[in-house]
Amino acid sequence: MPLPTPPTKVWTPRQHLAVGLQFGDLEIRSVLGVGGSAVTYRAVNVRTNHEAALKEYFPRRWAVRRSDGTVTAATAGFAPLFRAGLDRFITEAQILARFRAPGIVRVDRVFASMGTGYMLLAYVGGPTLAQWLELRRSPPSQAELDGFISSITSTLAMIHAAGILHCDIGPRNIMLADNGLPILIDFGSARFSMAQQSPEPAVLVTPNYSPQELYNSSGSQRGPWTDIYATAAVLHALLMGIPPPAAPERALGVQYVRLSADPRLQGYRSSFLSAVDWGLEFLPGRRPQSITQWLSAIHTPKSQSPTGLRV
Amino acid sequence: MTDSNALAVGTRLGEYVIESMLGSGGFGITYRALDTRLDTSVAIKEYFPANLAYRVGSTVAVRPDGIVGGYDWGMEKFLHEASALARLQHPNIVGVRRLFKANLTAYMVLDYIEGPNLKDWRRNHHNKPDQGELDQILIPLLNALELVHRKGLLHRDIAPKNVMIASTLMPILIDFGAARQLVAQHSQTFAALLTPGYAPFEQYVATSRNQGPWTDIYALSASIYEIVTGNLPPEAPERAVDDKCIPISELERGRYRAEFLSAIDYGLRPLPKDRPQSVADWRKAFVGAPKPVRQPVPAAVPATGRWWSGREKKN
Repeated sequence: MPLPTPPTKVWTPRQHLAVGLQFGDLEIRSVLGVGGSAVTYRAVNVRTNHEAALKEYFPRRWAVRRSDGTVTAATAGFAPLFRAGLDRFITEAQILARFRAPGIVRVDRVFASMGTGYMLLAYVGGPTLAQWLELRRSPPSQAELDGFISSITSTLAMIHAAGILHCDIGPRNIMLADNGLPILIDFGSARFSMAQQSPEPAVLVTPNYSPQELYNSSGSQRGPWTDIYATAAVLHALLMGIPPPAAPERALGVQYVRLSADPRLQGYRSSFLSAVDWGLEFLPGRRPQSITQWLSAIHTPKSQSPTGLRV
Repeated sequence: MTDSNALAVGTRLGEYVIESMLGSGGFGITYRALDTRLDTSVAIKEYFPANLAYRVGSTVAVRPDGIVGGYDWGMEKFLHEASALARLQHPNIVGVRRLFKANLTAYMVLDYIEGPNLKDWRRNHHNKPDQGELDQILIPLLNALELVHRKGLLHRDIAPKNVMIASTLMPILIDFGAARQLVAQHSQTFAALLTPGYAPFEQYVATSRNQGPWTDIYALSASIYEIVTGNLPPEAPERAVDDKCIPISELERGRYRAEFLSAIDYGLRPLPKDRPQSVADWRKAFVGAPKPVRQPVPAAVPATGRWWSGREKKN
């Protein structure tokens, strides 16, 4: 008996919401990005004509969209994960809402609709650091880096003081404001609680930026030094054009080449380079244990004008 | 069943009729089905990478935001590994009956194995397994694994849940890691598709470059460690930072053969180079052959920055 012949490939028109769709006073204008756990749209408030970013919880691995646009878990087995992730998404919005600071994307609303969750965020027009890095052909100056670093460290000091770790700092989660200063988006700790409950455990990390302790699924060994490593890896990418080797590669014997010993980086403050090396120590216990400790080693000159990278 | 991605119960695939879903993972869905001609149960594994595909009726389609090339490549890899598995023919490796393509995806028809997996077997077994039972389980698995490796394959996901215990304590390896590597490589954020606690270091690296027989040996050692001590060794990434793994030869001294225990510790060494390089090496350790001392880590090639390909440059 012959097997059924396969029909031609079927495609649904979209995995994201239709452009032009209206949600109360919001209208979807375009898709800004599709990530692993969310889709971000550019939306406009039709009453105020104000631009905003609308982030929709849509975990690709676990969710599907029905033809009417509503979202549901892809399989019954994924339903608990989908719900746990949705809870984390709401928590993430609540965390963001606690911090009204220039270095963290502003959240205005969070609401449930279409079977999933949405958060309304301030629209940041600038590129992500990943996009910026791709276009750059030369490293930023010490002054640009000092502005960048004093901004991101003060943001991190603030969230750490509130007992929160970002746990996923990397070029795709940093956007640049018009003045070139970093804005943290995507408080990815949500990922960790999901990874722990995955039926087929998945460790979700950003290779080359995630320190070794983010590769375990038990959640142990993490602390301020975890965000410090990732931030130092971002600085490494800014200085060298490439990030350091991935932590598991280092565990297998690939060596980290210290920036402070690189003659090509002579134009940079040596205390700064050594501090980046310090932040990139493989073992958590050998890294700076707090942002304050790290900052004192970086020696950022005071009286910095508030500018960061040249956008 | 309200599983929107799984085939509905009663769906016909040639002479097979889907009876239930046995499990779904990141890249495949496994069903129990009836072979209507042989009137016997079979297990059917369907290629279905959840992050790249979705279902329309019975047909699988690639998500518009997925990578079509990735889907097709993964399917080829699934078929390739399935046909390699079909050629293995070993009493302790699940038998492959057939491979076919339908619904724009691929299917592997396997023997349906009754009986608990090693995890449930241990749970139902009120005492610690004795040395005789462990030998009865481990020796056939070593033989099976040796054949797998001789054919140039790796299992990549050995864990008690993937060892079925048929009647008379016969272990059977199931769930080979077809297409596993690929899904990891095509994820934007690297998702290490592995089972924490059983997976060694080298599976956390985005490429399979450092993987080999020693990768399966680690996972099998961790499985034995768990069913004997009741605890899993700490996850490999934790061991890289601070190795708190207590050797089984300390924990179980006197209860099992000393060579047996130290061979398990040998298989659980963190670095790939320090472990037995082949099942043959490992087998010698079980009868007390000396184990090599740990080797120092090799020096690496220094990286050149994207902005610093030439000599010194000023910003």
